[in-house]
Amino acid sequence: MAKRDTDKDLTFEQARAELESIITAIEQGKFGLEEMIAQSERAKRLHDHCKRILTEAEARIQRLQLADDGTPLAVPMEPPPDESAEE
Amino acid sequence: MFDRDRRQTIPQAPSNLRPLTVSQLNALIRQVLADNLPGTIHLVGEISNLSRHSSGHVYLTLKDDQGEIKAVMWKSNAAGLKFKPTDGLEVVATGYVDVYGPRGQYQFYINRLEPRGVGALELAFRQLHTRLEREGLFDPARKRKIPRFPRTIGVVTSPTGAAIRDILHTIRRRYCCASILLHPVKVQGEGAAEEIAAAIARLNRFSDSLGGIDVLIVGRGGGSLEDLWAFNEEVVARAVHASRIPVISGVGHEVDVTICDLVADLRAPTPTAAAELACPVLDEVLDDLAGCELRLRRAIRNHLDHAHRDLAGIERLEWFRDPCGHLRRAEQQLDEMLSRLAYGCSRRLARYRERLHEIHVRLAARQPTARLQSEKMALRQDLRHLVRMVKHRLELDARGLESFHARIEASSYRQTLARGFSITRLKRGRRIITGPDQVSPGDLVITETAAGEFESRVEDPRQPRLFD
Repeated sequence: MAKRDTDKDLTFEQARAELESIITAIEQGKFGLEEMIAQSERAKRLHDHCKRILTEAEARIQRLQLADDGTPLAVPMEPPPDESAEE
Repeated sequence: MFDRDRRQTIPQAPSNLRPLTVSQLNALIRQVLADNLPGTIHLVGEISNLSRHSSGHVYLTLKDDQGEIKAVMWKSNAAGLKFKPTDGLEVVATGYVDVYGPRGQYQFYINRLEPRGVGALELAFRQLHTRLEREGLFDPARKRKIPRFPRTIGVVTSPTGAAIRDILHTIRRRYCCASILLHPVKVQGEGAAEEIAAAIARLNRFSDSLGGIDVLIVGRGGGSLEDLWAFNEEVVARAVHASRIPVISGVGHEVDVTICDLVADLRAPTPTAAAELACPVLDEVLDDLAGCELRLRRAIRNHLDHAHRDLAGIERLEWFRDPCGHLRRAEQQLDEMLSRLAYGCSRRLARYRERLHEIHVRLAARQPTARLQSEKMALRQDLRHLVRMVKHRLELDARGLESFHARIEASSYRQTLARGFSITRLKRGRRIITGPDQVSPGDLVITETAAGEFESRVEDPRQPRLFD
């Protein structure tokens, strides 16, 4: 298992997958006691990381604008009025 | 002009070449057709003379106002028809031309038959479809997985259409933590396809500097086939195919299938459905995460419980409670064995010693000097014993003699003799005779009287008669 310096860089999928594999391994009793405690701490961190991604991420809506040199820029965009009518 | 060229070349053939058989000619024509006609032809025409053979094959003629061609559709292709071809129906037939030798006819062999709808557009669609399919752009194997938890969703659509409204609404309702990046484009009319293709390429190229885009939604709301046409253009197909970011296509309504839909990694029936496929429902993800936490806790608790039970089990073990007991018992056993060994040895030793002694004694007994010695000793002892016996006897005799004399004196049977009684004895042995049965005729007897003895011979010993 490669040691990562910054778990913050993990995507939700990566963190979620690693969390799953740790839990499965613990459930199957694959770790020794000390290893399990270390892994469970990591699992907790991964869980918190996942949760943070989900709950702290602000839903941003942006639209792309092209600068004069053709570079795209993302600028905030107001969500259109919420009409639930489907087309 | 073509006809004139032909007329010029064909008459030359018999003069230059050997005569051909009919079959050879048909084969030649077949070769010319195969070499000069495309392998797949989309043919527009009207059906006439249609007959469905009992074998399942369909025979028909395709015609327009100036000509006609015989056509056949084999059973295997005819079986897949979604509609029923009838005389007078305008169709687009896809297939190839070949020569039917037995009749000397060239025929059109139909692989696919479609009713002719919009004509040119449909044909264009078919042609592009055939080409891209052959190139492998629709290959399911090259479709990428859509990430389950996108952080940023790129959307390529019109900023004013119903599609963007539905997409935004759907994503915010389901998965409010995802960022949405709209690349506004024209979705219909002149240049729309190029704009869509450029937008897909641009979002791919600038993905990193825009914070990373996990998935693209390309689409628009419903409309006529002409309205949706941009999504059937090759540039769009190529751009979707080239995209590194997985693409979900959501164009028009459920019934509309575009080239873009077929090339995309995932086809959604509508833009709303595309948004649903692009992201999970946050609450479900949170539930799942909570489930993970629960499982984690449970797994740890199980693990710890198990460890505790294990430890308790070990604590209950005897060797754990009294680790020295085992040692002591072993020691005791060792001691016992040692003493048994010592006892056994000494007993054995004693027996050997005993037997050795016996042997020694027996051996000594067999030694001649020792034997002599013992014989001598025994002899000496016997001698001593004898001497003692004799001495004792003599003493005894002396004493007996004295008492006998006295007793003789006392009883003095001779006094009885003096009164006239006598004692008769056998001369031989001097045994006193007490009855006639003790003598036989001729025996010499001595009779003792008080005055002396006399000898006589027995004449007639008679049995004493007590009462005669």
